[in-house]
Formats: sequence, C-alpha cells, structure tokens
Amino acid sequence: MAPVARLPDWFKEAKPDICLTGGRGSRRGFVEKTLANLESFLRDTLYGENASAKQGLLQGITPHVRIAGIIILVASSAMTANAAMLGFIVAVAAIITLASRVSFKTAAKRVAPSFVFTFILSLPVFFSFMTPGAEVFGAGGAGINGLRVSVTREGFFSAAFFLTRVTTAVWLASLVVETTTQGDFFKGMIRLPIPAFFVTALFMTFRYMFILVKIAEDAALARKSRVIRVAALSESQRWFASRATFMLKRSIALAQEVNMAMASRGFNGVVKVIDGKGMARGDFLWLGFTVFVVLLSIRF
Amino acid sequence: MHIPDGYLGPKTCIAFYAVMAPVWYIASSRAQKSLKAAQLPILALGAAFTFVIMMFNIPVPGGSSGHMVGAVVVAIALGPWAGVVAMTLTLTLQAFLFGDGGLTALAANSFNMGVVMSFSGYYVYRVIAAGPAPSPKRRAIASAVAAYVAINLAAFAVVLELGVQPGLEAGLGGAPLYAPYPLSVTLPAMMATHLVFFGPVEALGTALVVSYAHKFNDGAILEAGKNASWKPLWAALIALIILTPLGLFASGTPWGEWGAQELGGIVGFIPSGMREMRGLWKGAMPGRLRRAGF
Repeated sequence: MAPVARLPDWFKEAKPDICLTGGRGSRRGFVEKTLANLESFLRDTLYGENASAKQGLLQGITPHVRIAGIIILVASSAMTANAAMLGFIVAVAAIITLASRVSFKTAAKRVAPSFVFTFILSLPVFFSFMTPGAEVFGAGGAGINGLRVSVTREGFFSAAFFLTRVTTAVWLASLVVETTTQGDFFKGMIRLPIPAFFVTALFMTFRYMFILVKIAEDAALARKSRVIRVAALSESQRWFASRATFMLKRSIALAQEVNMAMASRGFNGVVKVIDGKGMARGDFLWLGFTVFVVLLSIRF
Repeated sequence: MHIPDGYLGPKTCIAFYAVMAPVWYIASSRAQKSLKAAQLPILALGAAFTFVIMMFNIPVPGGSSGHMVGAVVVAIALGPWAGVVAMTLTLTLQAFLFGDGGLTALAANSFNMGVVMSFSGYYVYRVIAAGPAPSPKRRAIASAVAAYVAINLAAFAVVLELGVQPGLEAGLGGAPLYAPYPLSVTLPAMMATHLVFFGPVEALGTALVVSYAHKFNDGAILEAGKNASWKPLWAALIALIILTPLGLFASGTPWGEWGAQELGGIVGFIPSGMREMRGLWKGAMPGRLRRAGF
C-alpha cells in the first residue's frame, strides 16, 4: 500500500490573500500602498493612453501657443460668474476634446478624482441647512434633530455651478497632457515668458522623478518580497526613515555628479530649443479664440 | 492641501500671483547664491525628492498610514529659499501633468506649501536645535516640532484662503461662486484633521528622516541648509512687534469676542446656550480687583 501523503496542519490553515508588511488592522500594508502609488505614477506617465501622436486640433498647434491657450481657457472657467457662460466653456472643452481626438473615457478618468472629491465636499451645499431657499426635493416637514434635510433650488444651483466649474478646469488642464508629448511640453514651456532657470529646473525635476521613483519602487518591492509576516511598527518606521534618507542622499550625490557633467560640457543652465518655428495662422486663430473666451467670461 | 482650480476666486488668485512673483524671483536668486555651483541640479533633485516622498506611506500607530509633504526636510537640507523653489517646481509639475492642484491656484499652493512650510519649518528647527552640537534627541524633537508647526500653519493658510471665498466672491443672492464654506466650517474641518492626523504624520516622517540622516551620515546631507541667513526670521519678528500696537487703534469688539447682547444685535437673536451660560463665568480676577478695573 502506497504511503498517504499528509499535509501538515499549518499548511491547511487559511491565510490572508496578501502578505501584510505593516499596519495592523488594515487590509493593505503601507508598503503595498506605497507600491500602488509608485506604480500608478509610472503607469499614468509612461504607459498611459495619450492622443499626442494623433492628428487633431490641439496637436496641430505649436506647443507653447497650445499651453498658453489652455491656461487662458482654464482662467476663463475660473473667472466667470454666469451659468450660461460656464456652459459655453464646457461646450468648448467638449468640442476641443472631440476635435483633438482625445477619448472622452480618458478625459473622464483624469477628471473623476476631482469630480468625486468636489462632489462629496459640496454635498451639504445642496441642502436647506446649508443653503436656505425654495425646497425642490426632500423630507418635507421631517428632519434630523429639527434640522431640515431637503434640497433647495438655491443649494442645487450653487453646488452644481461650483462642481461644473472645478470639473471643467480640470478637464481643460488635462488636455495639455493628453495632446502633448513630454518633449513638446518642456519645449513649449521654454518659449513661454517664464524664466529659463525655472523651466530648466522643471525639466530636470521631471527627469529625476523617474530615477527616484525607480529607486523607491525597487526599495519597496525588495522589502515586500523579503517580508513574510507583519512587521513591528517601529521596524516599519525605521525602514521608511532609511529609504527616505537614502533617497535624499542619492538626490544630492546625483545632483553633484550632474553639475560636474554640466560644467564639463559647458552647459550654463539654459536649455536651447532647436525648433524655432514662428507662429502659424492656426496658432493665431487658437490664441485669438481663447482670448475672446476670456474676455467674454470677464464681461459675463 | 493642494487647492484645485475653481476653489479660489480671481481676486485671490491674482493677489497670490502678485505676492509670489517677487518671492519666486528672490528665492531663485537666493537659492543660486547659497547653493553655489550645484544650484540647478540640487534644486531639481530637492523637488523630485518632495514629489516622490509624497508617494511614500508612513506607518502610524493604529494600523493606518499617511504621507508627508516633505517641505521641511528640503528646507532643513537646502535652506528655506531653495525649499520654496523646490516646492514650486513640484507643484507646477503636479498641476500640469498630474492634475494635483490647480493652474490658477498654483501661486496660492506655492505660498502655502512653499513659503509658509519652508520658512516656518526651517526657523523653528534652527531655533530649537540651536548650538554647536545639539543632542540627537533635541534634533529629533526640533524637526518633529518644526514639521508639526509648519504643516498646521500651511493648513491654516488654506483655511483662510478657502474660508474668505463666500465673502469675497458671491453671485446673485449671495450664493457662493467658489469654495462654498465660510471660516466657521473650514477652520474646524481642516485644522482638526491636520492637528490630529496629518500634523503627527509630517512630524514623525520629518523626525525620522532628520534623525536617520544624522545617525548614519553624521548630518552631512543636511549641511547646505545651515548657511541660510537669520534675517527673514528677524524681519518677521520685528514686523510683528511694530504691527502689534496697531491693535490699540482698533475700535469696537474684536471679531468673534462679542457679548451676548452684541451678538444678538448682529445676528438677530441670542443663541440659547449663550443665554443660559452668560452668567456662569465671573472672570479670573477676584471680585475686589475686578471692581477696581483690572
């Protein structure tokens, strides 16, 4: 008779589906949360859907004019106090999205976090206890501890206006990222009236972010793959301190190396752009249109 | 802490851009001067550090975790002016590329997380950890207090900016056009979370990084920030001393310190709790001194 293979009892016990590496009582440990943050950053910036390679309205406009126009439109959405004008800016955002061949799904993904946050934040504004006025929907005479919980017309319009304004601004701002490659973005920033020192530092910051994110991701992944039980709080905090200090140390060491490399190559801190094309007719039209919209929003 | 577009009205945004334009100019030239040759890469790396540190979750007692801003670490390491530039760089990239914080609110966000956090954090740290060789314990306490004070001051600045919007920018019928809540709502909502949760997280994270840097690197990576001048701190203190007597010229009751009758006159009724308790507190002075006018 063949021997029966028996599994030890400890092997048959149900285990949580993920290994918690810190943070008792939480389903996800702090390392998992950190890894999720880092992964979503890399996924969104490196591998995210982007319409910058497509032929479209915004893609056909010179980068610095495109960025300036979008900033002007965002300012318009922030300035208007008129619902019809805000509606017009929403329509403009929708037409630009369509004409630039950016998918509405991608735009919605960009806008969703701000929309949800602002909706939750502005929820009390809908109700009579925050915004008194004509009741349109609600508990009639009922309430909680004498507090009426009906939605008022004034509250609805006030909250809806605020929510639309915030969502439209985020939507418009997201069109820069969706229609511009990273190289074009910094090329455009250099040609805007911003100090060259600042734009160069911005460009370097963006590059270094990836190096530091990679270092941080490696550190978090290395810990996750080596830890098989919930670590003590003090030990987890020590790990955070060591990694943060290590990154700071690496940052400064790398900065010194880059500085020496820059100096040895005669770089004086100002990035020069090869593409020196002037503005085309489409650029003037785009800029003229955005200025027209901002003037309308000031008027209304 | 990141204020999105649409929360602040044009008056506030323009005012903050007007305030921040000279600050950015001075911060850039000061940072270049104090950091000497390695200015540009070190500023960029400082900015990248704060960006990445915001993604790191710090485990806190109770099983939860939160993230820090990192502005005080950069201010201690590179100096407060460099801290302002580094935070502005981070916030600019976050606003443009990741939708964190608004383009119109960029100056306000830079003021809150750059100017307020960097300067308050830096000088609180330097005052508490003053001396040639402060003990590791004092250094840890100094960085924790600095970070706690800095993030709460920055949160308070956000409270003021959001809380004044209903009064500054209202539509027809007084309906708020921007951030809809007055100071009476923004103050407890924002400060409670920062005093109780985000403040301790920032304090813990900053203390851990500064202590670790001194323990294993002898604090060498925090040396660049030591060269910063004390002048801004003295200027702020002198300005406060000069402005303090202005209170003597103020007329009427300070805002929020109204008596029951005054409040009744302002809002049209005396709240029941106030009416019931107004006779309860007789004052800290004994009766004789009080009658004598003290």
